[in-house]
Amino acid sequence: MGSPSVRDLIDLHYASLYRYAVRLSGSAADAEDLTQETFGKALTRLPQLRDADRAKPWLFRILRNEYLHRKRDERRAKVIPLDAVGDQAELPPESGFEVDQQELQVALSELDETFRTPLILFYFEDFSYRDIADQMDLPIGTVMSRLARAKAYLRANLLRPSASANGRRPTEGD
Amino acid sequence: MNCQLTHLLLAFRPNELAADDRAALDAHLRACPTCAALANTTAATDNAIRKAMLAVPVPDGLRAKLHSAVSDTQRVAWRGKARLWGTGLAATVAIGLIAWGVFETTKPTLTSELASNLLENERLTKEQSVNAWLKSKGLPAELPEPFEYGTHAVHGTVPLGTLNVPCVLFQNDRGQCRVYILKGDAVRTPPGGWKDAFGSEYNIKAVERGGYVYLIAVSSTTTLEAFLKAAAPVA
Repeated sequence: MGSPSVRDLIDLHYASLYRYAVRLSGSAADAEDLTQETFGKALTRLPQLRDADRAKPWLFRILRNEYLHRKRDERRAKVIPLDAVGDQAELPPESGFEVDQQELQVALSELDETFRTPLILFYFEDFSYRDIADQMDLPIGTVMSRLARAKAYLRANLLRPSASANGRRPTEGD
Repeated sequence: MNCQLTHLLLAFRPNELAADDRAALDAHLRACPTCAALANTTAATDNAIRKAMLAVPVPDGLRAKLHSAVSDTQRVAWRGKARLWGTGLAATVAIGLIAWGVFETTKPTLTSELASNLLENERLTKEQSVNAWLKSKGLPAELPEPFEYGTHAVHGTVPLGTLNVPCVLFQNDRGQCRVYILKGDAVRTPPGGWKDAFGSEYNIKAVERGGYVYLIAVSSTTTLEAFLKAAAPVA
């Protein structure tokens, strides 16, 4: 692959970046800004992209740095201390589950960014543990540990048997 | 492979495991119903979360908006570069104009009055310089004739016969006027004609003043009056 232009990068990666930005920031408006800012920075830093095949993690890294820059001075209103969460939450016995979009975003937003980022990147599939470790400048073992705790937190808070699995959605009174 | 190691490896995607580990994991899952159930549940929950994680509607027109923003950024960047070049060019021109303006407004205009003043200043400076030099030699502070110091060339002590005597030299385009200053009793050369070492002829005029004799030698090609200040017009 030759050197891509920023317009090529937009066409290839804008949707993934926007979704990542939504999950990271929890806001569609912020996500648009972050995505736009990311490509703006990519435009000026394009010569730094030595391997065109690594364009996607490179863009994701720019977006995360931009997000962290914006949030640097902000205090998170609520952070879940994941030290208190076990590595393996008990899983529901059924194999069919559904996740409520709204609850997912709330759960993600409650997580500290150091746990949220590896979790989002993990579910974006394209990122291996090594990729996530590179993105966050962390040892791969630290990434695995944070990811295990974050996944356990999500399972414990989000998963419920789907209608097809148990015949009905759980309600508040259950 | 035991169940504890199996739980650990289930955290990885299958394609992230080494072939040996993956084969060992598969073998354990076939033999262990508990771990197999855990594997199925883990995969199902991961799939559910993944599906939800990626189910973010991308706004219509976002791509066009991003392309437009990039175009704007590039346009601004080019405009910035152009402005930078323009500013540099304008600054250069402005500096040039300012320098030219300053020069034009401050440069001296050579009016006849100014020229006259400059010449007068030069005369005064030379006259004052000569007078100060004469005074330093213990001589009368002024020469006996109203010399036009615009024709002053040089002054100093020069050999004259066997003596070293103070001398003031005036020069115009036709010849010279030398004023030798001697003590009255040292004068042996009578006024009249005189030739220098190069054969040039001089007319000599002697003026006595304050115990000194001023021998004024004027090139025969010109006159003493050519080296004197013009007489003030009679009112």
